[in-house]
Amino acid sequence: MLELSGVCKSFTRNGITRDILKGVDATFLPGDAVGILGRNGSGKSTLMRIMAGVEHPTSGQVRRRMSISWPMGYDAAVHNALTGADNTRFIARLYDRPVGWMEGFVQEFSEIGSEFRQPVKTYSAGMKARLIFALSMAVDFDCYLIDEVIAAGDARFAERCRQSLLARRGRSALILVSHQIDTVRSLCTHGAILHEGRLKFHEDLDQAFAEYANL
Amino acid sequence: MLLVPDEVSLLRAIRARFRVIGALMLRELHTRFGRENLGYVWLFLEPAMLGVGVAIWQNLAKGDASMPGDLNKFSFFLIGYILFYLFRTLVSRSATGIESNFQLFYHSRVTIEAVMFARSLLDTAAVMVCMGVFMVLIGVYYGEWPSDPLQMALGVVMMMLLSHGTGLIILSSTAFGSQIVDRLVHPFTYLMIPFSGMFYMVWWLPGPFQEVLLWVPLIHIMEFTRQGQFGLGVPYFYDLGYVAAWLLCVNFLGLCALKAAKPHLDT
Repeated sequence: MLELSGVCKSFTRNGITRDILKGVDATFLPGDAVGILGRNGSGKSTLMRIMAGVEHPTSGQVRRRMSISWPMGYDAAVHNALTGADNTRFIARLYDRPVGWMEGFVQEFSEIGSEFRQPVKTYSAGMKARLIFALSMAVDFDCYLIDEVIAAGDARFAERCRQSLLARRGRSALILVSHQIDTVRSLCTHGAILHEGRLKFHEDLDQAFAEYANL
Repeated sequence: MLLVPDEVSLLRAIRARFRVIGALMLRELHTRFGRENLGYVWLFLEPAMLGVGVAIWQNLAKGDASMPGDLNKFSFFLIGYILFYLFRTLVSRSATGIESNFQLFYHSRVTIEAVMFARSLLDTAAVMVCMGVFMVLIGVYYGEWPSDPLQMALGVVMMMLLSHGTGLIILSSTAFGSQIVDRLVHPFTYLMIPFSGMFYMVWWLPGPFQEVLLWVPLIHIMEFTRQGQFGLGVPYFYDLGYVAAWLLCVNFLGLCALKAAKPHLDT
């Protein structure tokens, strides 16, 4: 279970305080597949970073009672100076997975080949995205946080990501953040709209899309 | 914030914490040791260079400028330097503790506290090894062995706890502006040199100076560690109760400050 209660987040830059989130309440359970829709600048990424524990809410609480992935779509989960293999071993140790098995799985799934033993900074953007996705599949999280970016890039790999995520939709929770209706429709069963710092849930996807279109 | 899954025992939660810290230490070792840079070689080279400097000075003075109490110059300055090195490293690096590890915080299991603790532990282990190697070298060369190695190790641990707590407070204060703090920390560590006991012992000084200097916990730790090397030949000034109170206070305050500062830190 991932539970947010009364989560507020504000940023102060140059003396001006902006309230990005103004009291978000939400509960996500394993098996949920929720698409969070929001316009640019509505605070989608901030919300995702708070759910992942990268940032801490100004007020309110986040309770994590299942393992939660890093927000996918950012490059930040791996260290650039370390090799793909080093990163894999670190993540295996961190999440208590068998190190040898994980190295094999990630190398195969990411299709990186011998570059696996090279520093991540020498990878192309596509290779890095494949490595990060393969790592998240190997850890087998209870909850996946996905930024829309995953839909971009290499079409074949994007399709593989989509299939892999769909395959675990029943047992893991998927939380997808997007401003595109199509991306949400392809992966999610429920919708939510982030607007003016608040999150509103819709059981029915089409209802969510209709409201989103009217914003 | 709760990071533990439902219905786990305290023991499993503690084991999970240890696993995270272990993984972080191994990673830190990798990123710093690296495959290209010298990494920890510098940790040995720096005190070694100081040691050479002291040796030259001793030579120029033609050996008749002996230390009060006839202490071995080499081990005296080495202990002072290595202990202060630990303090300086942990404190001066604390302000950038988040910035230089931002990738780590994308893993929800990794907390700021764990990252800082792992780094402190690693540096302490390195300093401990470095000190051990030099003490053996001195023992072999001068025939002077530490009178109580355990006491010296305890001194290193106390120095780590003091620096770690101070580092947590400094890290928390970056919520007010990381650049200002980063600029202030470096002068602070340099200004602490005369108050650290690195170059002197308390009993060399006149009474009024002693009274003032003994407010500084660094000196107590320095004296305690030197007693571990030199034994009971000369007077030492330290109060373990006073040090313990400092260690408790800075670490408690540091953790509280970090908790309060978290929502305002840029990760």
